[in-house]
Amino acid sequence: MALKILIVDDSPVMRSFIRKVVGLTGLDVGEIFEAGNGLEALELLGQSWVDLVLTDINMPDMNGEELVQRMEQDELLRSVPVIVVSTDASTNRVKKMMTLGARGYVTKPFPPDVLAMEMERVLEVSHA
Amino acid sequence: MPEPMPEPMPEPMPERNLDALLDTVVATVLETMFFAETSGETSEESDAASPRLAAALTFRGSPSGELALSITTAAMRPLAAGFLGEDEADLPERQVGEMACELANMLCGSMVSHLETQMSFDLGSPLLMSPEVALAPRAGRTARKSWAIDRGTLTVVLSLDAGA
Repeated sequence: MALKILIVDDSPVMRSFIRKVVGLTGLDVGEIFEAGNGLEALELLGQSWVDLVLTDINMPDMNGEELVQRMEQDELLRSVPVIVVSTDASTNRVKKMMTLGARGYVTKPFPPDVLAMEMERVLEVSHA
Repeated sequence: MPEPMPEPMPEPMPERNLDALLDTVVATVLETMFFAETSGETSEESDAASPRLAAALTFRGSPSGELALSITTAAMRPLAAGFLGEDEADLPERQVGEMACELANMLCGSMVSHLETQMSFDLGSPLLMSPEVALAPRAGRTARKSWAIDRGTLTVVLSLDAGA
């Protein structure tokens, strides 16, 4: 069954870039949804099931940290794997996001294959 | 009751390290995300008459400060096309502007991650503005460099708040 993926980033050009990278992974990707912040993402997640969320951290209205927290508090959404895609490479931030519930972390700038490999790893673990 | 020991003051990063860091970060971001490279350092005046895009954003953490960039509009177009995998002719001006903001965002995040590898930081949203405003002198320590790139120049200014 084709994967449904949600891309959360306040930068439209970054969402386009990630969308392209997702298309190059070789994974069977179906619908790709986009949201500009955590609030929009939660609204979308309330309407459609997705298999993977790729989210930035620094966003207006609701950042990626709160999004991951809110997903973890939800009985259904906590099973959806989240990969953080952020410029913040600090050890503290990576640890915090993983503790909150993120399953993967990719630091910008990244070559397309790095995100592709992280997606494959996270989806493999989640479906094992 | 003994007096608590004062927190040791962090040692300021030498000025030349900031310059070297700007070189490294600009080269890495351009190569990794835009499939582009610089042709070396140049002067800001070398391309001053050409139309330019400028963007800036603040960061909060340790240290706090601001990163601003100014880039020749003609040079931003091929960078945006390379990033998005689109034909340059199909790119609307709006998208080229968004791309300048995203370039500033990635340069800033990358710079700050190099300055402080342990503690996290918060980035503001990058905003488009006039080059004069973006590159206006700031208080505190500043590193400022320009590079020649395909069809123009890129100038980046990293300003650390006073005390950083």
